[in-house]
Amino acid sequence: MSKETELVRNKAKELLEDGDVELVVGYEEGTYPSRTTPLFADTLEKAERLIWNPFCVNSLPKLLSKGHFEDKLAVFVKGCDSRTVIRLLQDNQLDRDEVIVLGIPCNGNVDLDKIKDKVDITTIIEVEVTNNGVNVKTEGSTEELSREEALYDKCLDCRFPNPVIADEVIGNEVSELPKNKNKDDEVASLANKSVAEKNEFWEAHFERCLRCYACRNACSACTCRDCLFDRDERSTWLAKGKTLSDNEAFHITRAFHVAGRCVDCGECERVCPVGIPVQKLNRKISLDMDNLFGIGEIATSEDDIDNPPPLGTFLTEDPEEFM
Amino acid sequence: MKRIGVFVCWCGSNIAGTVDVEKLSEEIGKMPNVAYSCNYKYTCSEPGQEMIKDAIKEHNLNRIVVAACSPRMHEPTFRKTLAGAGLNPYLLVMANLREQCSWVHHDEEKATEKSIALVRRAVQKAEFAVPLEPTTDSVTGRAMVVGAGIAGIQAALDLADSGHEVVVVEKEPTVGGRMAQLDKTFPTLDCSICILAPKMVDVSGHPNIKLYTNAEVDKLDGYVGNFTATIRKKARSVDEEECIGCGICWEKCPNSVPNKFDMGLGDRSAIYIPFPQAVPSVPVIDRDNCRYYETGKCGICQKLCPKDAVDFEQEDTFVEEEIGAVVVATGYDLYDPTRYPEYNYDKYEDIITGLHLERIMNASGPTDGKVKRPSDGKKPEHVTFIQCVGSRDSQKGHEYCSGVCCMYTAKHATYLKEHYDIDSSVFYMDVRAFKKGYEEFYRRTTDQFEADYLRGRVSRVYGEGDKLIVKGEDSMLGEQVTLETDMVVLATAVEAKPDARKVAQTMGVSYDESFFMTEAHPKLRPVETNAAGVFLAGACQGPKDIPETVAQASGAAAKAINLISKDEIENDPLIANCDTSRCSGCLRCIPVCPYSAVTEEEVTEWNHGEEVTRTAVNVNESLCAGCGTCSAACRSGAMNLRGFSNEQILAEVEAICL
Repeated sequence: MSKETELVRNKAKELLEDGDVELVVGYEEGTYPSRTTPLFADTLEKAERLIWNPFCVNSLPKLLSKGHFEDKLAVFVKGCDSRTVIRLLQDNQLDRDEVIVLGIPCNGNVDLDKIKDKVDITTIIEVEVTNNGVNVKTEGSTEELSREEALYDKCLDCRFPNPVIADEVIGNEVSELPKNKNKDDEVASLANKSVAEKNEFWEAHFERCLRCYACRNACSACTCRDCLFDRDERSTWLAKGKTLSDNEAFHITRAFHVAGRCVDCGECERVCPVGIPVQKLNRKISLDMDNLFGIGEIATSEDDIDNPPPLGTFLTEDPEEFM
Repeated sequence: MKRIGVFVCWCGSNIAGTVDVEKLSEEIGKMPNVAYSCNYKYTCSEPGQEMIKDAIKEHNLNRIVVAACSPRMHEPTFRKTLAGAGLNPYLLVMANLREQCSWVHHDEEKATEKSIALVRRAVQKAEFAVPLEPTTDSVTGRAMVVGAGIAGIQAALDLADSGHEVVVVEKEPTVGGRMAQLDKTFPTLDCSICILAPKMVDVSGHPNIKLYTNAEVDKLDGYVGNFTATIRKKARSVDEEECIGCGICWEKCPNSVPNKFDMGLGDRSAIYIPFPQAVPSVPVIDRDNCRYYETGKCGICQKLCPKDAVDFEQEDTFVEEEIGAVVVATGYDLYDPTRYPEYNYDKYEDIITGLHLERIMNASGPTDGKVKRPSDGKKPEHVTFIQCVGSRDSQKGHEYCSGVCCMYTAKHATYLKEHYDIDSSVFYMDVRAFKKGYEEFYRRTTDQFEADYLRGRVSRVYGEGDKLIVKGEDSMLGEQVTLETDMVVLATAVEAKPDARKVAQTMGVSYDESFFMTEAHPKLRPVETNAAGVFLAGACQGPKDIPETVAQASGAAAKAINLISKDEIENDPLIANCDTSRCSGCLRCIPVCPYSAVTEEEVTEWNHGEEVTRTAVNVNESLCAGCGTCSAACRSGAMNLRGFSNEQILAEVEAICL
C-alpha cells in the first residue's frame, strides 16, 4: 500500500468516524491495479477500498453537482480538480458548507494508452511520477519512461499541481513541474494558420466525432439540467445527427457555452474516445478573454468564487470595439 | 394548425419602387402554413387594415405577418388591427422591408431576393408566436423633476398646476440654473432674471411642489409608474427650516473666494447665496473655503445668526420619494476654450467667454452692470467676438452646432452698441438665425447697430500694450485681417455636463457620443426616452435656446401627466420568463439585469420519488423591461423573452441563413 493510499484511507475513516461527513468520494481499484474508478464511501468498510496513485485521473467534483446529494460529504481533489470545485461553486452548483475539499498535490497522471505498447498494463504494480520521469514497476520488470512518454498531454503543461481550494491538503506540496509542452503555443500556431488550413484541421477531427457527449459530461462548466443538445425541439442547426455540419455546430456551440468559464482542466479532451483536441477550442477562447478583458486564468483561488465570469458581467470600462 | 396570413405593403413607392411586391407575395404564398398572401399599396390605411380584418375572417387566419416598415412605426397600428379582428395582438410579426431593404438597396432583383428572405424569417417567427396577455400595475400619481433651471422649473410648474405632487431636485443651492446667470434674452432683450424670478418663486411656494436644493438623485429604483428615488441632501451647514435669509452671516464672513456664479469675476464669502434672487434664500457654507472647516476657529456666522441656524456638524442626509414619472432637466455646460491655444484664453484676462460678458453686463454682476475690462477696469471701446469656439469643429471641439451662439453674440453686439456705445466685430462661420424673429434681430445687429461681421476664422489673439490683437481672415474679401481690440469674447459651445453620463446611467437613459441624453425617437417621441416613465427637458438632451427649452419642458410635463394621471398602466407582455425546470440556478441572470427584475427563488419538485428543493429564479413582471439580457446570459436556455423566444430566434436565423 502506497503512502498516499494510507493517508487517503485514514483521512476518510477519520471523517466518517467523527461524523463530519456522511460520504467520502475518492477512487478504488478497477479491473486491475492500473485502472481506477470513483468510489462513494459511506461506511468504514468501503473507505478501506480507497486508493491514491497516478492513475486517479477522473475529476470527481463534477459528480457532486447539486441535487445529487443531500448529505455533507468530502471529496479528494488534485490541482486541476480543485479548479472544478471553484467552477461549481461559482455556478452555484455546490454548497461550500456541504463539502469538505481534501486536496492532494499531484506530479501528473499516467496515460495508459501511451504506455500500453511499452509495458503490459495488466501487470503494473506501482508507478512513481517525478520531475525527471516515470518509473513503471510491473510484475516482471521496472520500466523507466520520460514524462512525455507516460503522462497525459494535459499534465505536461500543468500550471496547478497543487489544489487552489482545499480545507485540508494531504501530502507534500509540489514545488514546480517541468514544462514538457506548451499548449498555448500550439493553439497560437494553429490560430495563425489560414482559414482553409484550420478548416481542414478541424473537419478531419469533427468528422470522427461520435456525439457520445463524453466531453460535455466530464466538463465542469456543463451543468445545465437540460442540455440543449438533448432537447427534441425542432431545430435544423442544432440537430443530433452525426454529420460533419452538425458535429461542427455541436463543438463550436459547446465551446461558446463554456466560454469564460472553462477552467482548462483538459477533461474534455482526455475523455474523448476518438481523440478530438477539444481543449484547443476552449483554450483559444481563454486566450481571447485574456486579450480582451485581461482575464486569463480564472478560478485560481477561493476568492474567485465571488468574481463573475468575464462574459457574465458588464463593466463600463469594458472594451467595446464591436459596437 | 397554423394558418398564417402575409400582407406585403408597397408603402407607396417606398417599398414597391425597389421590391417586386407581386413576386414577393407569390413566393411567400408557397411557404407551408401560409394560408393567404397578398400585397397592397398602403396597408396602414383604413382600407388596408379592413382588408387584413376581412382576410382573417375569410381565410380563418390565426397568425399575421405584415411586411412593411419598421415595427417601431406601425407595430402598434397592426396590433390594434388584429385585436379588432378578434385575434390576440401578439400573434402579429412584422418584416421591415422599408428600412432594412428597399431604402438601402437599388438593384430590384437582389432587393426582391432579400425581401423574400426577410419575410420568410417573419413567417418562421410567426409559426412560434403565442398569444400574450398584458398584466396591469398601479401608478404613483407624483412626479420628480431633476434639475431646476428653466426647463425643470417649467416642467415642475406644469405638473404641479395639473394637480399632481412634484418633487424637484436641484444640485445647486438655488433654483434658476443657467438662465439666472444671463443678463438679457434674445430676440426680445427681456431681462432674464426678471422673467425667471417669478417662476423661481412659484416653484418654491407652490403647494404641490416639494423642493430639494443642494441635493442630488443617488439612485432610481423601480419602474414606470412606480419609481423610488433616493435623494442625497448634501450638507448645507445651515438649517433650512430655521434660516430667515437675513444675510448677516454672508455680510460678516471674513473669507472671500471667487464667485462661481459670476464666472470667477467677482468675489463672494464662504457662507453665501449664489445671487440676490436665489431661491430658497438660504445660504450654504462652501466647506472647502471656510475658515472654520480649515482651522476649527472662526464661527462668526454661527455666533451672529439670530436663529441659531448655522450647523457646522450637519451631514448629508438621504430621503426616499415615491414617484410615477421622472423629468430629467439637468442642463448643459460650456466648452473650455483653453483647448484653442491660439486664442490665449488663459493668458489674457480680457479674453472672456459669452457667459462672462453676461455677468459683466448684469446689474447684480461683479461690475454692477458697467462694462469694464477685467484686467484694468477700463471701459472697452471695441469688442471682438469669435464664433464657433468648440462648435462645428470635430478636431478640437464638437461636430454639432450649438445653436444658440449666433444669437447670443448678436444680442451682445446689439446691447453693447445700444446701451454702452461700444463697437463690435464678429468673426463667424455662418450666421444661423432661423427661428421666429431671429433673422430680423440679426439684421438689426448689423444694419442698425453696425456690428462688423467678418466671415472667417481667427488664427491668433495676443496682447500688445493694453490692446488685444486679433489676426484672422475675411473670407468674403479673401484677405487676412488684423484687428486692434479691447476685449475678445469667445462664443463657447454648449456641451453636456461632466456628470451627464452618470446622471443618464442613474436614470437608465441612453446618451449619444457627446453625452447628451437620447430621446426615444428624434421626431415622433422627442421628450420620451427609452426608459419608460423618464422624460427629457432642455439642454441635457442637446443644445437649446430658452423658447425651445420651455416648449420641450411643457411637452415633457404633458407626457408625464399623461402617465401619472392614470390609475393603472398595462405592462408590456414582451418580458422575460424563466422555465424553472431548466434553470440550473447559476444565478448569472441576476447581476446582468439592469432593472433588478430577476430574483432567486426556491423551487420544490418531485425527483425520483423524493421531494427536492433547489434554487431557481423568478422574473418580476412589472420590473422587467424585456431587454433580453438575462436570456442571452442564460446558458441553459431557461430564460426566455416572450415574443422573442429562443425558439423563435433560432427559427428566424434558420429561415435567413439556411
